[in-house]
Amino acid sequence: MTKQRAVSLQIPVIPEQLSALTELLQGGGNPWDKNGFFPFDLFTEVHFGRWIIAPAGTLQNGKHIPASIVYAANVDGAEKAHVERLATLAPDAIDKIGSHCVGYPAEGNRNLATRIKFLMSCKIGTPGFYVGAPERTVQQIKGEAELHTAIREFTIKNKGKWKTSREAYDAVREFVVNDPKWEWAHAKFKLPKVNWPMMILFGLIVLPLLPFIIIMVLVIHFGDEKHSKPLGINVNQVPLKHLEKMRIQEDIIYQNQISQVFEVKRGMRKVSLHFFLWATSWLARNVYVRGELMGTPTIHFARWLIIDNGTRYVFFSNFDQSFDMYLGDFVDNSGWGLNLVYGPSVGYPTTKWLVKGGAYKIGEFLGWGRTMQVQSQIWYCAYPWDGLQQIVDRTKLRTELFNSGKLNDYEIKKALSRI
Amino acid sequence: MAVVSNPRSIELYDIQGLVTRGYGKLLARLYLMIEFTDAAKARGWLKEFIPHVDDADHTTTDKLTAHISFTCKGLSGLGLSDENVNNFPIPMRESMNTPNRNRLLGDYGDNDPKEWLWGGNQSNLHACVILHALDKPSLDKYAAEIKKMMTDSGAVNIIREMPGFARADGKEPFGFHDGISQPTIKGSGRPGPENDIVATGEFLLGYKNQYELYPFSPLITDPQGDLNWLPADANDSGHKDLGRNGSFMVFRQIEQYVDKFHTFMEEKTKNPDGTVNQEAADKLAAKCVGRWKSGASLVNYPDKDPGGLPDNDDFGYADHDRFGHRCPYGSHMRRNNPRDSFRWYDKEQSLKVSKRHRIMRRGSSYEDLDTEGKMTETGLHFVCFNADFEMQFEFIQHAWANNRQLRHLTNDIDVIIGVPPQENDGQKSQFTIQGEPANEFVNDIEQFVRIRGGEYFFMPGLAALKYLTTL
Repeated sequence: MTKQRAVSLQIPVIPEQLSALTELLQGGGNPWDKNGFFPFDLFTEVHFGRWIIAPAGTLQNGKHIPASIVYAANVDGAEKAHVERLATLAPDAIDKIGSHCVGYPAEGNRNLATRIKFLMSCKIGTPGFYVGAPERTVQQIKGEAELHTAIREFTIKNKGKWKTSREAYDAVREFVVNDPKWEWAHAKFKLPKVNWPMMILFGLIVLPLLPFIIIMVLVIHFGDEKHSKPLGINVNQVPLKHLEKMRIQEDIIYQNQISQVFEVKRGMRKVSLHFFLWATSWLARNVYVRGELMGTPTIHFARWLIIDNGTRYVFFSNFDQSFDMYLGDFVDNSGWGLNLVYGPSVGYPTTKWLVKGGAYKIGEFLGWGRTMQVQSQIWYCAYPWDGLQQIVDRTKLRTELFNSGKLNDYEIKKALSRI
Repeated sequence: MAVVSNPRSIELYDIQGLVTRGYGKLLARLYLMIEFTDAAKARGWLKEFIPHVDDADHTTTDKLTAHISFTCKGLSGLGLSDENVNNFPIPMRESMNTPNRNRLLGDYGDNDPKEWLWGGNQSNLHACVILHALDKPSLDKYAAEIKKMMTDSGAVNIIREMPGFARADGKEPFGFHDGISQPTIKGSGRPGPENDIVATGEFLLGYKNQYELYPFSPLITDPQGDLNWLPADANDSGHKDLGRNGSFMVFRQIEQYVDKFHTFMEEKTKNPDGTVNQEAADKLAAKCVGRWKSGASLVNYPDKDPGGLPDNDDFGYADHDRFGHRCPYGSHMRRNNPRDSFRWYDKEQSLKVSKRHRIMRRGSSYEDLDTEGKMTETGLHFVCFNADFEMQFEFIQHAWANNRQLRHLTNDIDVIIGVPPQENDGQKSQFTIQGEPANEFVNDIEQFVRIRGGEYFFMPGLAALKYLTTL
């Protein structure tokens, strides 16, 4: 079973080169602009990828943070292998970007080894990571989509031929079995399930931490939140110029993307960020493995990275449908979860007891979210027209045809409903 | 689920009637798009016009009604300062026609705003006056009076007249009973099915919405005019609230290709010998719409139209049609108001989510006739009210009607109002009819409607209207 892994790099930018780099990345490509210079299509292991500029900023304490590039990819296989493939398959594109970056090998000294060494030196951890359709390779997702289309066409051709669901099911199964093209689909694939032993372990780890968590909640509620200054603007008050830069990239294909950069609050809030990202990742690996994150079924992936020596963090995600639907949906289902993970960011709407308030002030929450958003200059998805639930459904149909033993009538009806 | 009482608790006397009242018996309608050419004189005209505006107190029965709503350009045209106009929500300020909004709403291809007859950020579209009357003769008489007031003012030009009508049997041009499933505004005094009573603030500004918050409302931050007409902002900002008792209005002129619609249904359901199977064609049309032509629900009557008057609207999908075998997931009705079966959530959560995306529809049919009286175009003057364009009207059109992958669907848009994606290489949509032993598919769905014009408006409360005359 192949895990989808997160590769994350942060690369410092030469300040004088920032505008040239920004201009370069604007032409880097996205799912509807295939002529970009960065050849994500060559990387068959990449589900999602992006290059963004984390803009320079001044922290609340007055400290200046220079701009940098953040690269993020969800890949099949090992992180190092992907970094090596970056340098192997796209040396020109890497040079184009790298030549604007601090510490990139000088022109005469660029070869496979130096490029890999540089990229590896920029690798950062991924403290928060969720995958909507885990444990499937790019190849599997694409293959299951083709299989689903073929089954549907077969069903259309045979309209009215079958009297019972079982008859229909047997015919569909036979159709797939008889075509050697789908031989791979017979292979055992175990749908990810809730990992109860790991959940018990999670409980055992968290239980002794309860006194600390209670202290954390009290300190944040009575201390940090009293002094925090929310941005306090409604989504209708976001400057149009900024909004337009974001919207120009949205609602063109089925999937959308979001990139945001936040400053981390200090003190206990910073501690809470690390704790809740760790908990989110743990739960994402062991509980939210069936195509929904805390009740929201449209998130292909979500990733949180801590950058700039812990002073800022970024959020990346690909999701189905619009910005408003995505965040609105999340608030409807689990605004409390948003409050835990985003409460530590400067400007976030004030929370109460960490979980209340915050995102539930939806106009203010969306205003904050839009303001913190940055452009995703280059972004890629291997299956940009596929909704998450459709990906999940196709895998289920395949497993219901081949990996589930003898199905009862209800299970058969359920399987056929996925066609 | 029973019809429950809904005690009156909102300021109906200050709300324009069309927000809460359908005026179903006033069959003749007229929409006048107007421009203001002189702010002071236009305010003088507005002062004269206000007594004609009907309020929302449904204990009165009017035979002639007038209502008015404004674009941001119109508010500027009356003299509202730039700062105050900029306090309106972004969709109002930007108009219905922006590149991003075109993508969201599907306003490209046949719906391209470049081809619209009106609206879409039209520079001289300042306000929309809506008249209702019992019949055409009384409407004509009333309209003449209203138009004379406009002419006499010397500052109000009519830039477009759009007649509309409602049929006594409640049917729209495709032949389906329309306007059945409407939310009931909490506090309006009208009883309604429990699940259809929606927080006041989903439709009216100045009241709490389904999130228990006051919706974003235009405030007066640059003091001008007689502020005594306006209440204080409910959010305690210290500013006066121009929005209270007002609502945001969406207007889209939707041409309906009636012949094409019925021919398509007939073609897809022909008998093996090539003859038309009218019963099957009607059933397919009903599956696409999500109701029978009589208005009866497919959930309650899955096999045949019972005819007669529309059945009680009081039904859910979760208990009786979880798998869409009666009313398909992708039908117009089910996708745009999923009631208690939004995704796979429990009923309570589904209703909670659904209620955050409701609109109050107030449209009329229209017919354009040529000089010989022959119909050249028919359709719907779609009018709806909401407090948040993005979370309500735009959400429904984008996330539900145009969503190809709602629930288990893979390439299905709303057959009636959906628009396939622009970047999809011209791939046509399908319509999936869930059933046993296997789902059935209707391929190559055509577009049966075309947008001919549209704009976003603000329909102020009556006190706010009076305030606008004092600028």
